[in-house]
Amino acid sequence: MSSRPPDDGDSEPMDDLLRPLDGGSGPARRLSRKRSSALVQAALDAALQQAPEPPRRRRRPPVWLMAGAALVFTGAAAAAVWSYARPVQPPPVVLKPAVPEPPRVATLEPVPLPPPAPPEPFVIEHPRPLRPSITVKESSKPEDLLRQANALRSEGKWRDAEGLYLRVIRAEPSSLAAYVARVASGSLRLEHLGDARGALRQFQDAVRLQPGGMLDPEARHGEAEAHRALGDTGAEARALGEFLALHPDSPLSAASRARLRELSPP
Amino acid sequence: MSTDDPIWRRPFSLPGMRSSGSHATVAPRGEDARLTAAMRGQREATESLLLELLPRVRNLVRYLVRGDSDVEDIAQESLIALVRGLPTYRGDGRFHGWVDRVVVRTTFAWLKRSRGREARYSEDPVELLAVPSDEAPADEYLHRRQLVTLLDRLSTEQRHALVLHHVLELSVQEISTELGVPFETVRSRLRLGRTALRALASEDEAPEGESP
Repeated sequence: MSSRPPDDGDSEPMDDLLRPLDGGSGPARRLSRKRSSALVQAALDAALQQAPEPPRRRRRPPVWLMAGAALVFTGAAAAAVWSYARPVQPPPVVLKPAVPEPPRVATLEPVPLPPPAPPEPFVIEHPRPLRPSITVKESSKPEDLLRQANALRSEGKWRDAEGLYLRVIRAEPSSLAAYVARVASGSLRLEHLGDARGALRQFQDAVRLQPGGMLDPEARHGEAEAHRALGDTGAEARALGEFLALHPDSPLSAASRARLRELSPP
Repeated sequence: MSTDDPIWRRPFSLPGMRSSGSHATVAPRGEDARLTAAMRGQREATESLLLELLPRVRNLVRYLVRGDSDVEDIAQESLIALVRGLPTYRGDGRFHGWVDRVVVRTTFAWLKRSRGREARYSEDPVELLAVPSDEAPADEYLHRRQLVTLLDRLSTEQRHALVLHHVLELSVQEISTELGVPFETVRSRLRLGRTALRALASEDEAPEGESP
């Protein structure tokens, strides 16, 4: 049997030493039929029991992106709910209908016509505009400010958005709008403004003022991230532990567990 | 060689990996009902096919790795990869060529994972004299066993180049592609590997006390 492969210019035959592969005996040690059968059975069991991996696993987006997206989404939802729930309605649009001509009746004596009554206003309630105005109005209420801040944030105007979040917090510190603004402000400070200490304060205030609130996962995870940015790994580990204990099913929990393992001593 | 995809999902249509013709006992797709049944996932057919392939798989693994201690583990991994890859076999080449490629890649992946601990081998030749063979002449078995003990003393790079070229009959270009190293590097490894292997063989044949 020739074993001289093509296109190897300086090849020399090695048939005396290396020969083409076959299923004959050697160079692997001989194996009894019983052991061969057991090996094949085990391989079959393993191959047929475990599902093959998918061709390519989708990579998770970065944690900060997931947290930011969740925060913006939740904040927007909260602001929308808040706005729809409040009692104050937008100013109605008033349309003046045409005044009908009074009927003219033929009479013997002229009767003076009554003065025309003032027309009743005809009110149409328009639906709320889809996109809020980003223009900041001095008279805006906290929930309007929150919407405007979210819009600024979505445009990447971090400092303007931060200013509005702070106004919301100052206006009604114990309101739901202020709670949302605290978490959003913490996230902005951590991710875009380079103020981890300020972020930590905002997240801690949010957790303290509304424990178990709707943004509790984001606030607690943000707290851990702020500790991480500050280099305080002990506090970060504690915050991650609390976060995982309270929100084990959060989308952020897998990454948090991994980080906690990194922080744990071997 | 990319390791992003599972071994059994990578394309197997590259040229080369010719079968060792005289020993090829598994026919290409369409000519062998057993292979077709195995590709459809029938356990009995798959088991029969694997039992037939097992000696070839183990031999190739042993050619590629030092020592005997890891051969069964890698062979089993290779069988698993083969079972999972069977449905993707397109039949556009020798079946044995496809099998060899899966085994080579499984072995390389295993070596990559276990880098640094793959030197557990013994040069104890006792079993060479004690193990009979009913499938090949005893001297052939002894020859192959002796040869791999020489291969065990080469560098991994030279060893793999020699095995891919002379045992699997891949061309230099195909080895270059498979290993992801330049063409000239493969040629150099082959040249040095051949020289070293011949020197070791001569040394081994020389009577005790004589230098080759």
